[in-house]
Amino acid sequence: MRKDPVIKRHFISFDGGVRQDAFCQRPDRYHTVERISGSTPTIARGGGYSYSAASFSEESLVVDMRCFNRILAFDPQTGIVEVEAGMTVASLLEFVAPRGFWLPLFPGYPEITIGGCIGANVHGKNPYRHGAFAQRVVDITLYHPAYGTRRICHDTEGEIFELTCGGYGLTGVILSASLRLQPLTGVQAVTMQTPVRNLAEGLEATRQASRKHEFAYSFHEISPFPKTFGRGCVNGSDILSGSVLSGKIIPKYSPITPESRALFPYSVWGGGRTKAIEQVYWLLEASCRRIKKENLFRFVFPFAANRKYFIFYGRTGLAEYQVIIPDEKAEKFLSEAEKIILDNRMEGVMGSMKLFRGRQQLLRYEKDGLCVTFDFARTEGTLNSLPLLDRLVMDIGGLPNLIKDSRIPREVVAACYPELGNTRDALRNYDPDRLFRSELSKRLGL
Amino acid sequence: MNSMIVGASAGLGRALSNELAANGYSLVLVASGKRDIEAVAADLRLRHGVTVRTVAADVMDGDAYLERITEVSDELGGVEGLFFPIGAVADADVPGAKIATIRRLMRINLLSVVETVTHFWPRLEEREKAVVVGFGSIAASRGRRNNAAYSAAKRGLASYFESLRQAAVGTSIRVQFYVPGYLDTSLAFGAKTFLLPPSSPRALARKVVRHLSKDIGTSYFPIYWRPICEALRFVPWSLFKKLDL
Repeated sequence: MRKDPVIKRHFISFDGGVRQDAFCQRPDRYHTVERISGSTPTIARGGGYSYSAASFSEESLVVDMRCFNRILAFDPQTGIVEVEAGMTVASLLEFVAPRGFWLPLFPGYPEITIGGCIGANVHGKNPYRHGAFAQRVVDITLYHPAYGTRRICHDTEGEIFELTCGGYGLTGVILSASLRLQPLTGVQAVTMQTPVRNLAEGLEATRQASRKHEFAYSFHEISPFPKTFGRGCVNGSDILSGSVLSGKIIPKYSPITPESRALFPYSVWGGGRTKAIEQVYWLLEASCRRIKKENLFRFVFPFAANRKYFIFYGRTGLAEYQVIIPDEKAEKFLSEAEKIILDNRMEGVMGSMKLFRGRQQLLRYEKDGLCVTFDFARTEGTLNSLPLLDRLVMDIGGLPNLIKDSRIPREVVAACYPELGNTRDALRNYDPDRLFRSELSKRLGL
Repeated sequence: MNSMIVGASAGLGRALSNELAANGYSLVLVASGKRDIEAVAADLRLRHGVTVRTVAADVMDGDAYLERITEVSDELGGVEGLFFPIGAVADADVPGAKIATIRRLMRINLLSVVETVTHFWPRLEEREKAVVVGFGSIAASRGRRNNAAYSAAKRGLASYFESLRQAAVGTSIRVQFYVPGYLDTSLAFGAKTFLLPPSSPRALARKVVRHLSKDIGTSYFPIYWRPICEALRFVPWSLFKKLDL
């Protein structure tokens, strides 16, 4: 019969920073996945939304897991659902929301897969209150040629379970996972917006909103103009208890892919253009109400309706810098980062802040502090200035998010993640041949 | 309506199972991989709340396979719909290939369908309404050096469904035959598609379910494959022999 078909494909990291050709397979049956031999480097891929190249490498066979998107079990008493790794978060929400459940830590884009959420240990809109994804994972069914298919959880195979949650797919192919859901009291969210003039005001308002609301985050203008730098809004949101929807939970939307994001040949963002777009945006915002009611889908996945934001970065892409800063150093970081961006005229577009709570271990993006995100147009000047932010983050004891940066060098990761060496050793102990490899793992020396 | 889908674990079969379940059909899903078919069944039960039975059986098992699917369909009170989105291709399907490969291709793509329909036909005739749906291939429009046995089997299947349609005249059974072009399934993954993008199996599944009550005979999907296949039949041999399709 026909061998498992393999094709050569061109892969692009979502930020446009890494482009490589690699062989790809798209299994749709379990035995096809389990035919992966131990002789070829391999890496599993979901939706392909990681900004760093965590799901491909020119040296590895890419295993596209999106056909594995079924719900395997659901217990309405315990709120535990078992789903296959290729299921998207939108598809999961579509199933669980009408049954009175959800995950408050869904990432911001609906086509991200559950396997991706586990591998990158993603977080939602208020990680201060809801933590990160790994905390919701009850067990994982994992395939590795040396061990076969195994169901692992914290109590059995605890070390591999911990290495897999936030482990960037380096321990094998995640086939399915059981997740602990949270009751959902309504399918609409109310958001209160507080305008702020700069990052410092934004920080204070975000802290207050995090205490008052179930979800809290800010967004800011960060184009390099001193007068307007940092102006923005802080959103404090709550689920409207008892709210119902007349239409579908998941409305029609047009998904963006790493390829379609990069179709536009030039970046609209950058230079005076960012400033002009932001001026129009703030004029429109000023006329909007400060209390907004949104359906659950639009609230959870704001970028589903704002695909232009990503497309505007064009073929060259974006450079996202996301970092957790210890709370006591947040003010210092914000003022010094502002100085770096302004002095070097980095092509900033949007910034965001939210509080984070978590225990840092292995390579997981989790720590107590303030999560700060800066989005830049990917220009040469900006890329040349990012090492200045790296230096600041290292000096201040910050934790950069590895999944959001296709550039971050190994030395910076080594300085910020004290367990990088332990992770490397644990991976080599588990899998001496290091079968599962990506561009990210190669860059980090894993 | 109770329906049996042979080849339900992936691709078109899975899409069809999902579409039928979404429309409230009770299902018997047949496929060789137990884990895959159980996963499909669990998903359909949870999403759509329908009754789904599974049979993990290999069509190569002949009578044992027929006994097994009959037993499970009887548990459900019999079936009124038979769907055959089953198919397999082989890398070395050329004249001179291994006999075992050719035998398997013929059984999966043609004989298993003929045997199953033959076995269930008397039962279907007893039903108030019944439907038999087969799936051919554009590869069968003209024999080529590649996929020789597969194309022959699918052309045989087209002929068999033509016979079935005539045999069904005056009975309660409707016979439908679809000829899909390139579908975005593992069967076509990585195949040369000559600038024609693979179609979504879900779109075909929707069309099948939407047209279940109609006497459509043979239908191409997407529709533009009909003139392409017709034109291919009229390409002169002097030119056709040089084509690398």
